[in-house]
Parts: sequence; C-alpha cells; structure tokens
Amino acid sequence: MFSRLRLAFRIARREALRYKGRSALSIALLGIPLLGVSLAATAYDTMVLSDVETTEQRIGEADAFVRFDNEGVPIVQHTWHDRWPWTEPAGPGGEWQGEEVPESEVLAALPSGSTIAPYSVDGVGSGIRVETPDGIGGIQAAGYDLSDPMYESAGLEYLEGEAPRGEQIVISKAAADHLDVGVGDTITTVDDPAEYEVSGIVELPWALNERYAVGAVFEQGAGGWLVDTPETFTYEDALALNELGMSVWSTPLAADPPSEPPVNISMGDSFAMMIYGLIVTVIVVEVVLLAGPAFAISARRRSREFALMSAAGAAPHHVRNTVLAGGLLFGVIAAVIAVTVGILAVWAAIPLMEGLFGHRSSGLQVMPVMQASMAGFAIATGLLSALAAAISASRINVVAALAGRTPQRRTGKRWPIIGLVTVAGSMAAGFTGVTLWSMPLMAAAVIGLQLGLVACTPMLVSLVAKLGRRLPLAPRMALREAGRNRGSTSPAIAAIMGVVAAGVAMSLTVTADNLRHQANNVHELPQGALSLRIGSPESVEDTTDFDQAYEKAAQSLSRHLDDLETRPVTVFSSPSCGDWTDGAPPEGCLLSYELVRPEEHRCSYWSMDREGEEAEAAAVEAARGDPRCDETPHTFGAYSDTPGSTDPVVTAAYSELDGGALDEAVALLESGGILISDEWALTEEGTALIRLNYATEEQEGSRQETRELPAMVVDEGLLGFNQMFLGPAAAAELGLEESQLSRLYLLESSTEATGAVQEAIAAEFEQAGGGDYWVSFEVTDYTNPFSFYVMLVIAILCGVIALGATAVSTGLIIAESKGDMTTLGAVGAEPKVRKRFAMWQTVVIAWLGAGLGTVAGLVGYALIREAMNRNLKHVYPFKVLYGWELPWVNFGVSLLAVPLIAAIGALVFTRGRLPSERRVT
Amino acid sequence: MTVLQMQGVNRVHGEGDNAVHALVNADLSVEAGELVAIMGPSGSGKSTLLNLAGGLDAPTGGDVIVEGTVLATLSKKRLAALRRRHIGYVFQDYNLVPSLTIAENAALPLELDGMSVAKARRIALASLEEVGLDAKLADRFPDEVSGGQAQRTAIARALIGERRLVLADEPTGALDSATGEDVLKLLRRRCDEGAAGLLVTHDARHAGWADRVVFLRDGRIVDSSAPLDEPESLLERAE
Repeated sequence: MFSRLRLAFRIARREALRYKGRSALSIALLGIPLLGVSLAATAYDTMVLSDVETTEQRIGEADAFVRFDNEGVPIVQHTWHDRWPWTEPAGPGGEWQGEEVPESEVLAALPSGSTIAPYSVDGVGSGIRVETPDGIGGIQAAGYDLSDPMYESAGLEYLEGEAPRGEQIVISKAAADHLDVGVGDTITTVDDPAEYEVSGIVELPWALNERYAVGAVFEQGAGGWLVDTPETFTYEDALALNELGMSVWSTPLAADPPSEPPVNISMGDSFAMMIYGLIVTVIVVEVVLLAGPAFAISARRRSREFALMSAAGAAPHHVRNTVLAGGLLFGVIAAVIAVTVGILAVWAAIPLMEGLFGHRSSGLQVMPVMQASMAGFAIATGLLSALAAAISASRINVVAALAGRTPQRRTGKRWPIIGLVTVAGSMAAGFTGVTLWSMPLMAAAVIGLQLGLVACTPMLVSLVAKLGRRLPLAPRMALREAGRNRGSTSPAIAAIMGVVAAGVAMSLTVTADNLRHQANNVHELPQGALSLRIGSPESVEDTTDFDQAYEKAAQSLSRHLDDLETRPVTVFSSPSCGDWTDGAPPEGCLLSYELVRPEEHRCSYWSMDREGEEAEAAAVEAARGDPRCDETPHTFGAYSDTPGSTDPVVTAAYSELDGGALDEAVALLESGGILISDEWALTEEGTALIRLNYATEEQEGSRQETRELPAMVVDEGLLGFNQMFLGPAAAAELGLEESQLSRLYLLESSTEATGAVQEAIAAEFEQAGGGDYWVSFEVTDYTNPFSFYVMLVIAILCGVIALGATAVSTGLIIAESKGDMTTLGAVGAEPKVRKRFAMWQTVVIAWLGAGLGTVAGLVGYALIREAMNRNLKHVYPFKVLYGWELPWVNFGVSLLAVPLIAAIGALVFTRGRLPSERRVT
Repeated sequence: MTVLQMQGVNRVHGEGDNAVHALVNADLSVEAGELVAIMGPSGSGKSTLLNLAGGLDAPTGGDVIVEGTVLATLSKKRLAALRRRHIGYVFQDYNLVPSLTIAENAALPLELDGMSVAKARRIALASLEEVGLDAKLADRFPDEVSGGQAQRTAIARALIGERRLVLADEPTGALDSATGEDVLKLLRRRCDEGAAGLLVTHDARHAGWADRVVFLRDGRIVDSSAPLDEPESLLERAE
C-alpha cells in the first residue's frame, strides 16, 4: 500500500521538478486564492481587535471608563463587552430623567483613594477651526489636563516633546502633518482667535489618523471619566456607579462579563456557521475550477506515460493515485507558501494597515488553528482539483495513447444534457432556497450552476466552432481547434469562468454595499457638483444683504476657481409663522408639506392589521413581496425647504435629464408642474399629491389639505429627502415662498476643487467676513474611498488571475497543437500564422470564459442578494436593501481588457518559428 | 508449456457500415522458450494482435488465454495484476516513464505490485545486469541514456520477476542496425531461457531470430512457417 503510494509521490515529485513552469503555475493557481484567504485571515486577526483588546487599547491601564447613560437614575447594565453597553432604567417603570450628578458624587461612589479624569473613548474633544498652510481647516480639540498621569496610563504617548504647560498644547501626528507644524511651533485658532505653542506630538493608539489638539486651554469636550481605583476594579464598583446612572467599560469586566443580557444579541452560531460554510464551499469550488484545468491538461499531455504504466501492469487506481499525488503535493506546497507569504506580508504591512484602519494592531496574530485549517483546505483543494484529471487519466484508451492517437470524440449528448439539467436544477434550488431561507440550498445552487455551465462548455465550444466557417485561416483554425480539443479548451474556459464569476459576484456585492452606504446620505445633487450656500441666522425681508454677501463670496470664489459660472437655485419654504414664543404656531400657519402616494400605490403594510407580533410579522412578510413597499426610513417626513428653478441647467443638475426629457421637464415646471423622484407617487392622471400641514387652534396635530399638481418622475436617486423639485408656479400654488434664511447657487468651474482649494476658499471667506451671514462652499461627494479600493483590488486580482489562466491554458493548448503547426509549416505557412492562431485561441477561451463567468456571477449575486436582503427585511420600512448596480468597470476588465491583453500577449510571446517534432522519450 | 493461446480471436472497430475488422478468427499459441515473429503490411492487424495478447485491448470474439487464464474473465484490476506479473511489453520508441530512473523503470511492475523499494531495486539491478546494462546507469533518467540502453531497460522491465511472456512491437525500429541486432539477441536469449516471445516486425532479417513467423494480411493469419533464410519469399507467396 505505502510502497504504491510512495511510487505515486515519487513520480509526482519528479514530474513537478521536470516541468517546473507547469508546476509553478499549478501551485500558483492553487496558492493565489489561498494566499488571499491567508492574508485576509491574518490581517483580520491582527487588525480587528477583540473586545478585551479594544478595551485595553482605548483605556490602557486605567481601571474603567464611565459615563452617564441616565444621569441620577439607577440603571441595569446588561452588557460589558464594548463601549456602548446595553443599559435600562432599573426597576419597573424606570424613567430616563434624573438630576445632575456632580463629579464629587462619582468619586464618592468609588472606593476610597480612587481618582477620575475627564476623557472620551469615542473621539477626541470637539471641532475647532484653525489656520492651515492652505487656508482654514478643522481639527478636534480636547481640554484635558495632561499633567495628570492617568492620560499616559490610558495610552496617550508622546512621540516628540513633552506635556503642555500653561497655554501650551500637544497635537497628534496627523494634525502636525496637516498643519505642517512641529514642537515649538504655534497653531492659530480661528473662531476664538489665539495662538498656542505646540509642546509635543502625541499618539492615542486608537486614533492614529485623527487630527486633534489637547491642552487645558480648550473646552473639555469629554464624554465621561477614566477611573483609577486603588485595588482591582470589581463588579461591585460597577454596580455602585450604575446606581448613579453611569455605564461602565472595564477591561476585567469585558474579559469576564458579570451578567448576561436577557436576550441573545449575537448572531446565531448555526447561522454564522452556515455563512462560513457557504463561503468556504464557494472558495473551494472556485479554486478547483481554477486549478483543475492545469491538472487536466497536464494529465492529457502525460496520457502516453499513463498508458505505458498500464502496459507495465498499473491498475486504474495506480494511475489515479499518480495524478492525485500531484494534486496533494501541489496542495501542500501551495499551502506552505500561501500561509508563509500571507503571514510575512501581513507582518510587513502592519504599519500600512494601522494607517488604513486608524488604530494600532494587537501585534501579529497568526491564528494557528486557522492556518492549520488553511493547510488542510489547500490539500483538500489540491486533491479535488486533480480528481477529475485523475479519473480521466485512469480511464484512458491505452492502445490509442500508446499509438499516439487521440481517440475519435463523439459529440456526446450526455454531458450537455447533464449540464442543462444541473443549471435548471440549480436555479430551481436557488429560488427554493431563497423562499425557504435555506442556506444549503442556496450554496448548492451557486455551486451547481457553475458545474452545470462547465458541463455545458464543450457543447458551447462546439457550437462556437461552427461559426468559423467564413473566417480567415487563423481564427477559423482557432475556433475549430477549440471545438476539436474540447477536452483541453473546456477546462481552461471553466478556470476563467470560475475567476470571473467570483469577481462579478464580489464586485456586485461591494457595489451594492457601497450604494447602501451612500443611500444613508440622501442625494440631491450629482456627484462632484459644486455649490455655494449663504445663510442668515434669522429671516430677512430685504434680500439686498443676501445679494451683497453673494457678490463678496463670488469674488472670493473666482480667485480660486477658474472660469467660474454661478446659477441661483430658488429654495422654497413654508412662509414664516412668526414668533413662537408661547410654544405654538399661529392658527392656519403652513408648517410643512410632503409628497404622498395615492391610496392604491401605498405599501400593503400600512393598510394591514398590525396589532400583535404575529400580525406585524404577517404585514412585514406581505410587504416583502409587494413592489410598492420600496420605502425606506428616509422616505417619510415632511420638510420645509425644497429647491426649484426653471433654468434648464439647474433642472438638469437636479434631475439628470437631458434632451427632449429635459425640455419636457422645464416646460412642466414653467406651467406649474413639479418633478418627483418617487415613481409610486405619480397618479394615473400624471399628477402628484402634496399634503400641506397647517397649525390648528387646538395645537394638537394639524389641519391637512391635499393639492394635486402635474408631475413628472425623474431619477429616484436625486431630489433628496423632499423627493420634489418645484417651479415657481407650483410653489405659489402650494403657498410656499422663497426662503428668507438661505440662498443656494450651483457653481461650474474648470478648477478641480481639491482639499487645498476648499481650505483656501474657507480662509478667503473667513478673511472677507460675511457679516451676519454664513457662507459655505461645498463639493458634493458621496463616494466611499474604501469601497473604491476594494473594487479596484477585486478588479485587478480577477483580471490578473483570469489573464494568467487564459495565457497558460492557451499555451498548453498550443503545445498540444504542435503537430498541426508542423504540418502548417510543411505546407508553407508563414511563422506569423502560429502567432495569429495563438491570439485567436486566447480570444476564444477568454471570451467564452468571461461570458459564462459573468452569467454565473450575476446569478450567484442574485442569490447572495436575496440572502442578504432577507436579513434586512425583518421590520418595515426595510433597511436599505442590496440592489442591482452593475460594476461596468469590472465587466470591462473581464470582457474586454483581459481578452485584449491576453491576445496581445499571445501575439508578442508566442514563438513564430514553427516547431519540428522532437524525440519522444 | 503453452504461455499464450489465442482461439478464434476477432477484433472489430466501429459498427455497421463503419465496422473495421482488425483481426479475424486468429488462432495462435506460443510455447515457453519460443519466439514467434508477426509480419505483415501496415494495417494488417499486427499491433492489434499484440494488444489483445497483452490484455490492453479486448477481443470482440474468441478467447485470449495467458498461462491458463482467459483474459475476458478478469476484471480491470486483475487484468492489470496479470500484466504486471506475467506479461512484459517492449515498444519501438522505448516508452520509459521519464520521471523514473533506469532502475526504477525496470522495477516499475514490482513496485506497482507492492514490493518494497529496496527489494524491487535489487531485483531491477540484477535484471539490468542480465541485459548488459552497467550499474552506473541505474540512477540515470531515460533522457540521459542512449536509445539502445533505453531499449535494453525496456526489455529488462518486460522480463523482470516471474514474467514469462514478452510482447515486442518493433523493438528495433528506433535503433541503428548494430544496436537493434543486440536487442534481438537479447530477446532470443531470454526466450531460450524459458520465456515466450511475440515479436512484431517489418524486417525479415529480424524475423530470422524467431522460431516461427506468422503472416497477417487484412486481419487474417494467412500463413505460419519456420523462418527461412530468405523470409521475403513468404510474403511473395502470401500474395
């Protein structure tokens, strides 16, 4: 038994050494995804701190951080692991109101000899404005007395200089870099003009990127206190503070929580295991699809060797073991390299990651169990990757292989049928899984779909090959060769499909996640739009001052923004209801207005009986399947400021309409209509309903009136919370007036509004002085840089792997076609034929792989999306759901860039010289 | 003692109109100590006969019996076991496993049979010595030795252990005449020592080393005779 396995491993090892390039490729294909997992796992364990590590980092050696949750009213603290504990008022009917508790009482509640110091664990103080090298910018400032040693024991470290004395301050390194100051220099505050000498550069390990200054000269800005007790901080100490209404965050209590929350607040273990299981399964499938073809093609090239072994008496299992030994060997090597490189890379990148995460790491943490699992995972993946090739090798036609013939391939219908049935079955399993909320079914669907497509690949290749009839020689041969050598082409296509599918699904998920993030900032203006706002602290009747403020601001702007053009946007608001000194608006005053949907367009949830948990759950369930139920928490609310204009440029900026649609919108606005962003708010008559809320005599609730105005639906991503854009006629119809509190202008300039430009403009505004008016220059930016970098990494990674898989697979196929190339040479074909042949082979493989991968990725994301959204639909209005925003850049990389680069690579790197047969040994 | 017996063996490739009769009602037996040469034009079924004799291919009719065992009754696994214990192949283009050394190639059937590496190597070295290969070559790889040395290795492998049936398919085709002659002498010697041999060849001079020559045409055994001084005359007679 062991002797036979030894033989298999010996052959595998020698084969690996004989064909170093091919071996390196297989190891790379197995190892790169594992390296990604190893990097992610090590980086996660190193950078994502545990509850106890977080506590230690935020409060250092201090015994606890305490703050008022419910000043003066006893509370019950249920959780102890993080800085925002779950607390409730103690006793039945507890109230959230109490009396102010002086600092002395806090000290009195602690053991004798304890000390406290004001501190915040969420940020450093509050914002102030300071002069920057470019103009004026903001930093945080905290008024801690750093002569108290508690701050240093809490983690404050002096990188340079010393503690401040008198009117000195210390600043963070990020602030020092931004303000370009060092120890001994001064910084100048703007709102409360003063100059302060910098006595030191400091670091808080949890706020590396924060720009802040600390000194007794600033307002305290603390959210609570650091506590130092003479003995170990105990649960009893915490209870005493809870009695004052204070929550406690302490390292020993975070490590060993003294009480459990009344309900489980963590994600269920089984659910988490299911998610992890799904991720691991999908990664295994992708890696197998990626690395499998290298083994398949390699096994095909070794078919004569296997036939020879059979002739010498090797049974099928001997041949199988030989191929599997290769998989095992490569798996082990890939695991060792991936884990080692992963750990070393994370170790080297710790400073970089600390900068990205904005906090210090807990030191390199390698998760030995995880790394051991990785090794097992790699070995299993290597074996699985080689499995299909091993089975295929053990079934070779010995006679044909010995004679050097490729057995006649029939266009079997079995695999395409199996493939189509698998694809159909997977789709059904996916939708059933979503309906029944069964993660295994969804996982099976994702995997089955890809395997089904793999099974269909030979049929697709064969079909595509038939398209080549009228093409020139090189593409015709490439297509037919792809069809003829389906055994080699299909695995290569499957490899690219696996990479692209994973990339498409990942990038769709990240894009959708980014959009969900953005959805929390309701959009009003397009990305990158520049605007100027001028505000008044109180209503003004005379707009002359506004005009003067605008003129001054425009002059300041034009000094920094070239080719400046400004366009006023009218802000319509409810007319002033006068002075509410008695706490109530006058009768009949227009308080607010809101867009409402016609009854038939309202979500079914609102009309259902929702008394009791079951009825509520049933209403939420019904809402899940109702397309009208697309409201979010942002949908609701009555607002009092709405932009409006009949200027086509301004209208286009808000609506993103153009051409005939823009003309139509402007005409509508001029004739008394409005633009709306909620498609369900449009009635069948093409109108929208606006509810006007007036103050009533009883001062309870409000009198309501509904007006109906002609309307047009525009991009729902814009128009902000109001979901409306008005023309002057519509505003008049609604009884709205031009705002007497603020002015808004859209700006256009050829200058890029960088951070430095913005700071310079802020300084210019400050210098010019706005009198009673405030003036602000704003750049609309919804982007999330982190998500952008994630997308970039995904696109590059998938592109590189797909490119590698394409190039190598093509190379192996071309090597198989050497006989044909020799024949071509013999009949007088020019060397460039070989280059063109290689190029077209590459294009066929890359396009088919990327096309199928895109389909698989889209379907995979559809299932992931359903699974994710399911979790977000427990209450109505639903949280912002994962939607469909296609990542065109990633599609472009997969479908255009990869085939193009691979084709160019094939042209450049394929040897033009036609080969001659070499001796077979 | 009969080592190989073929009784009414047929091999048909394809079906219906596309059917190709590669071998038709072939009857042949090879005794221990006998070397039989198979001759015939290209496509006459020589290699098919050899593949059927070695159990690499299965007949569509008739029986192939090796050392008393009907091959058709064996599973793939037992057939493989029979090949590694009783049948040895020698091919025209050496067919050594490139990732195994000369000694390991010779020992391959023994290692496949589960024998320890050390023991298999000892036997392989002895076998290599028998075919005249220097022990210094034992640890070289196939692409580091000459064609003649590679073919000697193939013969050593074909006859290692208890194997008594050698199937040689044009074993001298890739060798120069002097080396080819050496290889045939070696094959002859092994048969003289008790092995049974089946030698496929195009060259009548090589057939001269055999005890009998069997002629094939269009899949049929058309004649069988002791080798003549001028074996080409047999071919002429067959036509």
